[in-house]
Amino acid sequence: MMRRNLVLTPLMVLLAAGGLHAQDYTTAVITGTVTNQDGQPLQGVRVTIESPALLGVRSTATDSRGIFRVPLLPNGEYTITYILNNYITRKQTMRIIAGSTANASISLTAIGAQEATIEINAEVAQIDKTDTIVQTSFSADFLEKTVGRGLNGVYSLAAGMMQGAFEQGNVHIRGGTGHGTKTLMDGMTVTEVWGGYNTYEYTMDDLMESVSLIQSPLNARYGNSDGGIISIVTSKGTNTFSGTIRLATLSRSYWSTVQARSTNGGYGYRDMNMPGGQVPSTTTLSSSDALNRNYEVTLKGPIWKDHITFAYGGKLNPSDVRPNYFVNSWSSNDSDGSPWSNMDGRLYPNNRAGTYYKAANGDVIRNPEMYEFNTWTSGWSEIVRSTYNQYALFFQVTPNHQLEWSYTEDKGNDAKGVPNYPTRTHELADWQILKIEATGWNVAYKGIIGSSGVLDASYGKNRNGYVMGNPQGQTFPVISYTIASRVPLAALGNNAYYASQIGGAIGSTNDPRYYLANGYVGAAATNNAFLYNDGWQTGDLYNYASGTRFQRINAYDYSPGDKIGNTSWRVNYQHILVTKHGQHTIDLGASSDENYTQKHTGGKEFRFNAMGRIAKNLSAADIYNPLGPGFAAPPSTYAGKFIVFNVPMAKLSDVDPYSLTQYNMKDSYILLRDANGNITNNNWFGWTDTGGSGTNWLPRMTERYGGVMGRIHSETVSYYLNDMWSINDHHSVLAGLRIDNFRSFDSSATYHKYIQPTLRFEYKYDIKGDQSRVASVSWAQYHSAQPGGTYGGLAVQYLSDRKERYWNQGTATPYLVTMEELMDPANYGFIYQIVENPLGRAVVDKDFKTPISTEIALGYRRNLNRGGFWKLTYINRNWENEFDWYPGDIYDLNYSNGTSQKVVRRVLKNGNGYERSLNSVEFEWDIPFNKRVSFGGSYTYSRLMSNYPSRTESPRADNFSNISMSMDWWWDKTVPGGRDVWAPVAPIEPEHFFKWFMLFDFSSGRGVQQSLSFNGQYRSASFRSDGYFYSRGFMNGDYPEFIASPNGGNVPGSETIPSGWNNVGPREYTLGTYFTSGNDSWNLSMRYNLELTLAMKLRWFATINVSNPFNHRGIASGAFSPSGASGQRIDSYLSGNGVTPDRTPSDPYQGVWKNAGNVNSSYITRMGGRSVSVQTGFRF
Amino acid sequence: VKMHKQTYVPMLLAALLSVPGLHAQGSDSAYSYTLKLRLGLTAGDIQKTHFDNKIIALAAEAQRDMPNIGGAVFCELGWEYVPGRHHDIYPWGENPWKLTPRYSFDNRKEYGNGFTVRLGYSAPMLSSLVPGFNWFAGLGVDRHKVRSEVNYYFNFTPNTETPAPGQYDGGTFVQEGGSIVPGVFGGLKYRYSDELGFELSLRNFGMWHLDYTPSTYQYNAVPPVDARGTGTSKTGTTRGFAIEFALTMKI
Repeated sequence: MMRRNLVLTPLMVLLAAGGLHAQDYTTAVITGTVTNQDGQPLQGVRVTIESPALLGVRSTATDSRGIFRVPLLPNGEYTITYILNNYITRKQTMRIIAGSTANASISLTAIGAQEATIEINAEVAQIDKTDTIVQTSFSADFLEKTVGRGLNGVYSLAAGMMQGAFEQGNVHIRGGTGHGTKTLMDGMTVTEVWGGYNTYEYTMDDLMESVSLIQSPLNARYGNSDGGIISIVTSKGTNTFSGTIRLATLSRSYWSTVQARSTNGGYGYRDMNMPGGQVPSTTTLSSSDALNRNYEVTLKGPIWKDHITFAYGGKLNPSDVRPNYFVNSWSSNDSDGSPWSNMDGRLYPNNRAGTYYKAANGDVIRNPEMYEFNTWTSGWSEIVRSTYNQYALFFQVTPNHQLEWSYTEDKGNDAKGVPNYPTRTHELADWQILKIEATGWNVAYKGIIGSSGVLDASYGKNRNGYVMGNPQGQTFPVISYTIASRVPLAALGNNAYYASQIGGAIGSTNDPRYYLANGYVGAAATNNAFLYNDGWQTGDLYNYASGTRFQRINAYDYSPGDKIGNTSWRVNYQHILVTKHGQHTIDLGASSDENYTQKHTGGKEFRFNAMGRIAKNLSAADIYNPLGPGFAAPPSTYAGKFIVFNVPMAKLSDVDPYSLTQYNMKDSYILLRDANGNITNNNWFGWTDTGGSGTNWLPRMTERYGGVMGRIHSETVSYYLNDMWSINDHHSVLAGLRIDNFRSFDSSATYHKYIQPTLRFEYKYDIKGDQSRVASVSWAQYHSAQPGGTYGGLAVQYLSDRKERYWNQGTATPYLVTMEELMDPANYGFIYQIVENPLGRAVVDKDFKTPISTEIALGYRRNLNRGGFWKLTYINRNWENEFDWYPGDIYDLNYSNGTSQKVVRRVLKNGNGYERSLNSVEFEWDIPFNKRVSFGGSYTYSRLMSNYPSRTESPRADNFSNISMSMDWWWDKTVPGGRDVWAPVAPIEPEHFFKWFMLFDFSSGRGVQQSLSFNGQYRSASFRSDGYFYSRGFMNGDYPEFIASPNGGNVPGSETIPSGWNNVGPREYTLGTYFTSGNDSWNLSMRYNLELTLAMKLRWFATINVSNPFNHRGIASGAFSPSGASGQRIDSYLSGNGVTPDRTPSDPYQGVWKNAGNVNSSYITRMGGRSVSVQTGFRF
Repeated sequence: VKMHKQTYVPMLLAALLSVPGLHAQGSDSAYSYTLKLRLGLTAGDIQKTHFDNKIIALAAEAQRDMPNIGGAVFCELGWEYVPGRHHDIYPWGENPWKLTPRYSFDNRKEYGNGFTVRLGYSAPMLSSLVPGFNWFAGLGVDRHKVRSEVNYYFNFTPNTETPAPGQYDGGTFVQEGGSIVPGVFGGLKYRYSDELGFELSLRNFGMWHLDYTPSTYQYNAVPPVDARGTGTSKTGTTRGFAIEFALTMKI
């Protein structure tokens, strides 16, 4: 027997035609042409396909053109045997990856002198000549060897893929938005539409078989994406039992140079170049060095051989606190007295936001040297006893008919309801999501119809309980959440983060009434009962037991009935039509992606969102008593109770988050009683308020969205027809038409709907007809999914009727009170006012349409003779139908106390003036030099430009893109109708993203496998010096030049100061340069994998990953407003507390700080550092 | 959206590569086309700037065999990127002005990109010992565009917790410039296979550079400070060389 081992282990494979020839997203196709030695096609060749991943053996025969085709193949290693009488039987092996079409063409030699079987062991997976989709596929094995398992590995290698800071780290593909990246798991849509998350980010990596990144949804089957598609395929089991037990990601804080230490400032800090080279003293910092780890197990096997298989994967994350994990880890202001910290429009002193660590004794301690970016910090990324389970069943009725079922549950929280991810501190309003729990299931049928057709259909549903951190209504706060909601404090246990916050203060913690407290409740017995209720601003929580402060996270209400989720179904029939003019591969089908928010049931849930703080030196006189003297019961009545009391007839400030003056704050209500019934002297907060007479601001309750029943949907039902016409060996043409029928509606009304057809064309030229050199040109349109942000407008429109309810919270089971009860002084302190949708502050324009991107791509792919490839692609994309919030009509809130308050409603609509474009070059390569060494990676040059003033989608993959988002958030929330404008166009600088790996495989083949991989990234983060302008509040008509359409006069909507809004509220105008200087980041990781066969199939494995072995420390610096503008800044706020505004604009590129306020806005920070992690376990 | 003037760069590069790609490359053709992924390290004056000392480049080469003279001539068009290096200093070691360390820094970065054009000649070398070895040399021109970013910030506040208004100063600006630098290059290349090869080369290397000195290194005890970034700057072109390694792939 001759054996020719041509190529190595298959590595990253750029494959073809996912979705075109592949029957669905989750299986692959092997096709090819069998010829004789003269190149003539051979008919009737018996082609059998075997694989451990396959139930049974598949076989087929070549047709008159010598072509065979076998669909519905799962991920795996395959052996293909070609048998024809009078010809030498040949075999070849290949790895195929789901969603792709592998070409296994071969030539047979007539039996002559050689009476033997030639076995070729080769990776023959090449692009098929009918390739249509730009797709990069990764097998799980490859990822584990080179860069690590799971999606993060894909991020580390794939071209055109950025993990942007927007929308909380989700993925952007070729300039698309985060929500415009569709993520599929086994064909089911799992994109979380609000922020574009992949909701299944906890997918069991050990069950993951492959991940494909589809950079262009070129086939009309793909859609609802203006970026690209990530398709994850997981195992469904095989005929043999196998599994893994893994102790994953072992690491300690002290294994990393960036973790908190007693003498080190932590993650983002300035520790160099200090006088004398000293590092900041952080004497109070004490970090836990607990071992981070999680446990994973998988088991796969047959239930009924060749017919039914199963797969299970489970993961447990034990209680674990990871401070300040990976997001926004730089920043500046901590406790420097910045007035910009509080995002409620007032100029509070900084709330001493910081980054906090859990000390060995359980106390959470602030790191005073943590430079925060204006109270932006990642804070905690906490995983508290989360579990993930994934179940799958596969039923092969016959080889031609298959059924699948899968179910996943991501219990992101333990029974105490502690959110697990990403528990970021405060202020991260826009896209903040705290995942509580997610479940999903999917059923699918796949079948071969006749000789030329394949039918596949699937239906999937997933639901997610979330916390959305967007209390100001910029997007719809789906649900809010508080740990304390009806959960006795004692149940929190000491392991919970909140419990740790509460720390030793937990005394008699079974008081059932703290549910009103938004997460932070003291205990009666401690004489320090307090309520800290604030979904807006950051603030400290003072641990009076330890004398330290700790950080609160966003505080939200808990609405257990609220869910968001999506439902998707797809039906696709693919037919191969052979004509004398070539072959047509026709896809015909329909699909639906529905996203919804399930509002909680009316009458049983409530939400509230209070802002403000507990005043210090609170006295009875501070309590507003709208019902007149004598109403309030003696303080002793309230002993031990922590009740927020929002009296009826509350003033505007009680319900309007855009409260206009601080003085209203004093009219808010809280009763804060200690065990003796006395109003507590709340001096533990330690603020030094600067609000003049409003020094002792009281918390107020602010109702946000009310309890209503129903849900709000967005649904895209799509119909498509796609034809790939392979004319001959050289030429092929693709044409596709997709019609998206989009609508948003609730159970009773449709808000808007429209039909959007999109087209795509591609021409491919196989230069030599052997697939070694393929050039392509394409023109295509991609219709985006509805952005999550539009839900806000829809939701509040839906909830436009203000409702007020009053709850008696003084009992274990809160109930709606009658008016009589409401007015009964005996209930004072126990009644909580629920106001539903007090504002209705935003709507979606009825003609709103979601963006469409038009892509022009030029590609050239070179497949190397001995395996491997390189590929160069130029991409130009332009988006239409971009959107933003605009000032809309002015309406009167008409509060129930008779207060008339005009506000400006915001309208989400498409803006003709907004554009976005991408010019990009992607270069990918994967080159095996020999059996042991291979080199691959990608380089992406992208230039994304837009003139968005505030939408979050535009800047992306820029280390500082968060900043503009925060600004956006700030602006929008500060003053109703407040308009924020950037001018002129904010360019996104060229971005370079270079990702590579070098793999050395030392496997001996004698039961020892080992490999060493180097993985590096370079990512430029460019200086941004954007001239901009924004306004906050209205300036009493003082500065009309700043108000009148500064964006070139083309800003739609009214910029006129509404009547009655003069001279109110915080006012700030900034004109100048928004400056950031990102850190170019260089990353290098080393990864060593070892696997030893112990006995039979039992193998032990270990992986050591050293990230940044040379401890390279990147830095970043910047200046912003807020925090800060470099250039000229004009501040005026709170009469008597500001300074004279400087109205002279300065050269935006040659500006000087000119802060009128007490602002420290520049920052510098260092990032990165060496860290080590280990994984080990067994496979069998 | 106005297209940035650099937009043509990727378009041109793509077009450049597609032409030879579409050119049927018969084995008997005297022409061959190669794509190069090149990484380099720079040395010389540039080390004193705020460029990083690295180069990332893509290049396409057309080569014509000249059997009559025993070698080949080639023309290469490349695009390269020189990343910036954050230069972060705390320039006041003695801190005579009571600067607040936490809020004072001088941070710069420069980076550039541009085209390179090279014309050269290559010929086999030690072919009897090491098949596939060639030497090459030639002349080239680099056209770079450079962006220099400066951000400095001085905080004189004695009290780091509560800096007072006006007691700090700083500036930020960007300045751009370009340079055209002719030069020479030479090196060795090795043909690993019919489709793959490596190159090691040396070239002279220079780029436009900005040197800026703030003039506001002074303590203004009494707020408000009204100093502007009126420092002095001078520009020039750095001199040095670069050593480069390329993976070559046949188009």
